[in-house]
Amino acid sequence: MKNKKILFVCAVLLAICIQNAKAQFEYTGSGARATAMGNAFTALADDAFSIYYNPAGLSRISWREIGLDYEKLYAGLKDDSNLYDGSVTGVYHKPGTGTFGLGIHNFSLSGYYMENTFMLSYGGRFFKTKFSQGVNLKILSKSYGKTLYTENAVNLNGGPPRGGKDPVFENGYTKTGFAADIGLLYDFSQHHSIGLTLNNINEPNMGLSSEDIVPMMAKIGYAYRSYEFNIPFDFTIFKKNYTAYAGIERSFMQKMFLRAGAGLGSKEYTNISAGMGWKQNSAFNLDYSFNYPIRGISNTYGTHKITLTLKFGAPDTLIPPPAADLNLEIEKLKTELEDAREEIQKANNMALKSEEDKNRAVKKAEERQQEIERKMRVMLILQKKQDIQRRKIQEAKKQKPDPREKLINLYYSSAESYFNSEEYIPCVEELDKLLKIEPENQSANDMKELAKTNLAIKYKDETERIYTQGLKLYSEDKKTEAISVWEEALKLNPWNDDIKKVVEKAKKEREVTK
Amino acid sequence: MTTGICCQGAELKKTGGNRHGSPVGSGVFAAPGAFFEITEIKPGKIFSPNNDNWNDRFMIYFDNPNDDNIMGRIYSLRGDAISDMKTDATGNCIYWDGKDYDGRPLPGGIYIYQMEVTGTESKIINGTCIIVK
Repeated sequence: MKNKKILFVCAVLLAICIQNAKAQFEYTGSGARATAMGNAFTALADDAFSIYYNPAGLSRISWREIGLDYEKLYAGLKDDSNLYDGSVTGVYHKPGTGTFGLGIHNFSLSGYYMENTFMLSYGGRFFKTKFSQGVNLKILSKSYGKTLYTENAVNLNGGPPRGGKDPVFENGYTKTGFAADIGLLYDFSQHHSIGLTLNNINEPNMGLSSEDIVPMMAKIGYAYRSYEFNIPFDFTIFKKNYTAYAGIERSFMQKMFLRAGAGLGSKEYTNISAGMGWKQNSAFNLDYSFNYPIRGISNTYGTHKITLTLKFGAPDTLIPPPAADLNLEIEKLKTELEDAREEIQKANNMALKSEEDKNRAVKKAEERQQEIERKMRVMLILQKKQDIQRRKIQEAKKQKPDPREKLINLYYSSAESYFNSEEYIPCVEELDKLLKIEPENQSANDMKELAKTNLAIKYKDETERIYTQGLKLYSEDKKTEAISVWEEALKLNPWNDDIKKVVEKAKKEREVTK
Repeated sequence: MTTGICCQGAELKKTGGNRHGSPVGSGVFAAPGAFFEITEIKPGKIFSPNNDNWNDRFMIYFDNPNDDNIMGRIYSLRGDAISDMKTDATGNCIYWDGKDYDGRPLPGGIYIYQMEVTGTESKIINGTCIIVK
């Protein structure tokens, strides 16, 4: 019932968004991942390029990310037009607040026309619900090149040339404006989401000498997300025109990706797309896409896009693999770990030329071991998460209706959402509320323990660094400074017992000194 | 953005005589080996359809020695069919007035034109044009 209401609200919002065809600031797609899936990304948005499709997608990002994107549109047009599109995008996650994005987008026809968009974005979860919201604030700028005829306008009815520039350029060749986008996402579950984006809600006037509105554009999307497959759909409707987009992404062990998509619209719009991606250690992604219109514009080599994405502190996957795959992956990692250990042993025993060579070989093998251990840790966490989910389902089946059940479910689902987006502190806070009602809830206790472990892993390096920094101050007898530094670390992980202890100790010592 | 003046006429091959004035299908005998050819685009890529008489239309002039069928169409960057180009009274020029199929003025920005030549020869010629407002 609730879901139906949400769909109804989205449909109404979409229906009121009436627009004409637009040409300026009409993004043809950013990020080769999205363009390869036919630009159906409104509900799937989960990377830096979300800001161009649905800023609410930023709420799914709990790491830092930089995306670089370059596109050649309609290569091989017969008049040798060079149409380029590119962007540089960065996102930054602030725990407890949300994710911020900054994007610079450029589109140009070499020598004649250029559009630039500077975007400041924010996306976050709406209070403690399954809703996420996002907003883009944009500076739009466009400029025209000077040509023989812009400088000496002609009368096409046969009259003499004007002998001066086209009056439309009397006030210059550039125009700047401001615009805003809003985005919404609703995650029905880990696998099903819907999204809504309204672009240019203020409909800025970008005319040089007369009104030239950038109309509002609305897009609604649905996405099925899983470890192996992502299947997104988008739909737009204006007056009597509609366009539907669909895509598919197949992941091979979250390392290689194959993608395809299609779009179909009422104004002869028929487009197919395909692409592929390669991911290295969840930190480096390289993606390529190819788009080609089946009807309409023909005799071109299509549109090609290449994207490079760098992620810092991102998990291997947002959606855990199914149990069978997980077990298989853990077994595989165990074998790899054994190999790495053997390699270290071998390197230690090898009669290498010098001590330096030996150390290098050992270090390399140790690094490999650490990487495998890290992956294994992630897999074990995912396995535990699945156990929790299974137990939760079993418990739900056994339980009789309880008046507290609704509240417990609310806290649990809220905690789960935080857990999935790696916001462990609010996750534990939600679980504490739940445990006040039902202290013996095993799933909640398990998730709380897991959230604390994950938080410790997530901020391990940073807390260690701050801890050492505090120790240094402490040894220099700067107790107040040391306490304040350690308290910063406790903001990252309030359950770090080591730091809690030293803070307590330092506070006591400070009191005595006073 | 470049501010240098681009010589737009240079992008077109103005070879042979411009046969403006010869209507399409007039039965003019074509010289052997003569083919359809665009001779000029006025006022270049950028035009301003605001009815002030200056650069108001996007016009493609051509030589059509074999009286081939010419059809011109305008697409949005995304690939939507936006409008058909019209043939002027001379028959040696097709033009677009910056409006859609329903006669509504379109926003500024880049559009794709595409001409399809069918008859004795068959070819597709496409490129970009820009509305400024």
